[in-house]
Amino acid sequence: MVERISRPLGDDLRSNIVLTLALALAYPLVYYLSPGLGLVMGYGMTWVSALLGFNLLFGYGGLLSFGHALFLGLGAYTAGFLYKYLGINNIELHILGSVLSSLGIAALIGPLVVRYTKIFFAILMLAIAQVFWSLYYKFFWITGGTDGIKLPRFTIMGIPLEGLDFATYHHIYFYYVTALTLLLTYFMWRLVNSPFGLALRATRDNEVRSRFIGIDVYKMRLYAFVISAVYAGITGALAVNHQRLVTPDIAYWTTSGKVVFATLIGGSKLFIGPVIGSFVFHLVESFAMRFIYWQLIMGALVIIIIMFVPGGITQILKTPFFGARLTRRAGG
Amino acid sequence: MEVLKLVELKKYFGGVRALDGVSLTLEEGESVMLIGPNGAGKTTLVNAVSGYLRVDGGKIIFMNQDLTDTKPTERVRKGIVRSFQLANNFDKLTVYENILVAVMAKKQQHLKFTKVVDNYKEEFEEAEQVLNLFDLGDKAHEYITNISYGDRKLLDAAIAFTLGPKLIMLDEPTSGVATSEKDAVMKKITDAIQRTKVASIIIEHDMDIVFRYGKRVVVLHQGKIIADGTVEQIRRDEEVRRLLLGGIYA
Amino acid sequence: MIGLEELVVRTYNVFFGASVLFLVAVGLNIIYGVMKIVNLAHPSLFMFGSYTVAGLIMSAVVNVFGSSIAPLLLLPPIFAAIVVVIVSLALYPFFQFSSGKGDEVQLLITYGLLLIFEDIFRLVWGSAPLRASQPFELAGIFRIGQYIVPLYNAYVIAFAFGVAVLLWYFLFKTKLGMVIRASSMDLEMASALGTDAKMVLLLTVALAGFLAGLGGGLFIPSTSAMLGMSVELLVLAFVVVVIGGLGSFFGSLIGALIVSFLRTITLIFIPELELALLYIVAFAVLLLKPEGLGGGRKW
Repeated sequence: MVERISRPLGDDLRSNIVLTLALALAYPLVYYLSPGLGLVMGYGMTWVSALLGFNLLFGYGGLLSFGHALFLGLGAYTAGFLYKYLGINNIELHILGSVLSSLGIAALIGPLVVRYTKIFFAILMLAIAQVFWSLYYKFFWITGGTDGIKLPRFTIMGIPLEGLDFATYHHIYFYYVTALTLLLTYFMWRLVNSPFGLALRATRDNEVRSRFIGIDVYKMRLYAFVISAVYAGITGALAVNHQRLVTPDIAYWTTSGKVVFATLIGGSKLFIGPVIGSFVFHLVESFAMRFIYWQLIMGALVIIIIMFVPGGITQILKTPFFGARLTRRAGG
Repeated sequence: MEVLKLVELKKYFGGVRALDGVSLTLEEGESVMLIGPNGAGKTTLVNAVSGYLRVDGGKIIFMNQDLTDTKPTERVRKGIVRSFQLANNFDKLTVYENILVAVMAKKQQHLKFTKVVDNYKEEFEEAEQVLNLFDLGDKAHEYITNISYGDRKLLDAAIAFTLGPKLIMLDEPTSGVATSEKDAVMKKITDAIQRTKVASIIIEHDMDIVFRYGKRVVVLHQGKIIADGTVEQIRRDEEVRRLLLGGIYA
Repeated sequence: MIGLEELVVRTYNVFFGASVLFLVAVGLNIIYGVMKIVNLAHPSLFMFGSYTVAGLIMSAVVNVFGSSIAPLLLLPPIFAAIVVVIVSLALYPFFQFSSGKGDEVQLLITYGLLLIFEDIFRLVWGSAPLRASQPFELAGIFRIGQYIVPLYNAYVIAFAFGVAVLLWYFLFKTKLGMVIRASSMDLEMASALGTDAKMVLLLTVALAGFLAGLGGGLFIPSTSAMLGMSVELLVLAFVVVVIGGLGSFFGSLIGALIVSFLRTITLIFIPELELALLYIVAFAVLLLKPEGLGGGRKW
């Protein structure tokens, strides 16, 4: 009798839920002690979706995208346009809109880009993202150019939040995003542990062998690409509602870099890696941003991580917390 | 009934005629050992039948269907399955997952994402059976990098059997395997072939193995079949002797 | 309608743009050809050449030689090339680490280098655009009908053409060039033939750096060095490489000409869609002729 699949800590659903809930519990205290740090946690929670999406492609699918800003940008501008042209500031509609727009564009470009892997995929994504960025930037009479689109406070299911003080408003935002993130985490966890997730890892490890057991590699990658895009699009819509401003910055290549970087910090090899990465990254960023040469720090850290700790923080935490059973399930 | 019928298969690489009009018929449940010197076109033949390479001429008829121009994935679904000369597994999956993914692929469940794999009881049991069949049960949760090369080759074959093929093609299942392990690997494979009654083409380099396990033997030389018969016939064939036994295998 | 004069001016601009793109892309292709590394930081090396000229070399040359035109034209690109060769060789350990590892390793490491370079430019030379226009101004202008055209750009075109010819000669006619090309096919084979593999790799990195520095130093008088240009160049150079074929010397030439032509056309008619149209063409090439328009040749 062979023992069934057992998941190491960090790859199971429970530890992911516990982590998110623990952060949600800690949030009011953190905000009380330092509202600035509370906002950082808000960004951390907001980005979890994009990083889970990115890691579906990277950690599980073996496709490294240098252009996820494309989808964050789509989500962001969908929210922006919904408000600017239709007066909609309902956050559910913003999210729904971003899902549809990122789904649509991913379904359009996906069939082209997933034919390529490795270098070509990475740089094609970078380039397509830059194309979209140039569109937001140059069609300023539609997008507001670098001034962007200012958003008012969002409404939840039509309930306005205008009268509330900032702290309460932000708490509502945080818990709204937490709830959504829990839901998205649950779906993503199901996905990567489904037969689809297993087969996706197989295509990552060995494309040829996958074909010769009857897996349609192209289709697998296309589906993963589209789902990944939707997750990133949701973060885009949430992030601009957090800062209440839509500018081309969110679609710029530096945003793609942050997605890659945050995932690497956390570690792409465990499901929980990007979740940890999102919070740690925004914490690091909030300190490093005071130092204007922060791309220097980010670049150096990317190189150090790749050369010395390819498993990111989850690799460092491995021995003390996760114990010896933490093996390389997702990555390698 | 004929499982496989190859008609005048041709494959050229520049001026080299890797397959120069190969015709071959395999009955249901028939086992063929494919031998020949290096560069005879053995692997090319497997590549052509499995769809890894497109042929330059001829026909591949499988279960009375012309599959000459179909994609590899379609051939797998029809029942043509292969292993590779260099162990070709999913490196960052466990032994168990390697088999499980093949089970899922066979049942066309690899695009399903509503249920977690843990809930696929039937598939788990099927994977378990395969593992036990090939004595890989105790290594089920090892990563590929932690098992011996012999086990990797065995796993490669096991993956192929998992797919429930009607024709299985194994490209040198014992190459690179330690001499002491060779017999064990081959025994498990021939047992599996007998039990599943699958038609098989096995490329083999080691003449000891061929003489011990072979029934029908086909000899390929410079892209052509030069002999086709029972082990005994091949053993006595002068040209084959000269080519294989007297030459490289002296 | 476009008149003859405008046509001449536009063509002139196409060749100027192509020269710059060629100088960026050819180094990218050489590194890829031999080491199978796509160096995302290669355009940053190009910009390093530009920045050193704008921030240091040009004023030094002006101090020494005043406004005599020949040194101003010749010395800055050469000095920039030397500086960038040194920088490139200093980066060799990173290339060596990346080579032979998974693609994501080289992509992430060279991406990290790209990020670092961006901030080194900011740190050393600030975020304001930097100019080194002395030779550009000294070279003066000429007129084509009603159009005023800078003469310096003709120098850039001629220079790039010269580089292309010399490089062709080096790669295809000298023994060292043949060793480099042979190594691109099979490094092990080349080392079996008695070539010191490490020397070849160092030479390749140095050559790519040399071309980047030369190009950057040559280009800067016609423009101003700004943050973010590395990525813009990377995105354009990638189209060049896709259209021409990855790792191909001739591909860089053809790709650079096509991209520059397309850019000029779109900038006339629909400037907003410049990048978008370039990428539509790149996609078309990838779909129809994945090996690029360089004919799929190795070099």
